[in-house]
Amino acid sequence: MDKIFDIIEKLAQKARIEAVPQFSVSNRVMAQIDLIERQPTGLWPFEIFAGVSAVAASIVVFFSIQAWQTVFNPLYQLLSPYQGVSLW
Amino acid sequence: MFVETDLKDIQACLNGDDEAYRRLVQRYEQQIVRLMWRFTRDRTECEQLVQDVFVDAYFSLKSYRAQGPFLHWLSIIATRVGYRFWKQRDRSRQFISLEDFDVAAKTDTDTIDATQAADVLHSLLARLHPDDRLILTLMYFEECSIEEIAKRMGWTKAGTKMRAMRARGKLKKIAEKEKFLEKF
Repeated sequence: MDKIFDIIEKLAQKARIEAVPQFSVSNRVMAQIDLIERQPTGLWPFEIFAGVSAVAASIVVFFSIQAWQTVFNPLYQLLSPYQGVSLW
Repeated sequence: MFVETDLKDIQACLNGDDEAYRRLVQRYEQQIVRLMWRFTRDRTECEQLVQDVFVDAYFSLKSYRAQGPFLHWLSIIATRVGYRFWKQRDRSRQFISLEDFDVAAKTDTDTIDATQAADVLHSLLARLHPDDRLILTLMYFEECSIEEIAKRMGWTKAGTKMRAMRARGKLKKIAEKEKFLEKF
């Protein structure tokens, strides 16, 4: 085996038996969970905004169709073949 | 060992009993502290990481399918929390120079102190990209197999094996550059 990895493996063996700090986080965990759960989800403003946007979009679509028809009809008249009486 | 007790507590917790979750935290926090200590050598950061693991686990508890021990499921969350921590921290990479371990340099690997050995190894691995560092940390500190690492991270076994090989190559280059062998 490579000497570098031999040394690393020996260091790892030692490191695995290292004494780790002892502490308890249970109180802090429970406090944080409680805090998160108490917070309002914060979704209702988005829901209201989405609803208002949908209504506004419907109104815009309604008027757009009417406007399109108003614009389209004169164009149609211009583009359609001339229906007048032939002179010859 | 704690399987039945764990399941009871998990069920109670899902039914709204927060004290049941406190019992779960108290039962496994030392194992998670040990794992998170591999991700940081700073006690305050370690405390925060352990806290993050248990908070994440609480909100994911519904997804626990009891197909394996609860500790194993917690370890997966812990590994991902640690990995996320490294990735966020990677932008401002800071690590102790190996030259700071002169005491270790004069010590034989057989007689070196466990904390010192962990410090040296941690400092060496800190020079790697978080992906590589994670694989080698889990391999060396936690004695995880390639399969276990792949499972914890949701990576493929073949991909993890390839990453491990590359990570070892990079580690070797770094060790040579830092004249790591001369220190032991």
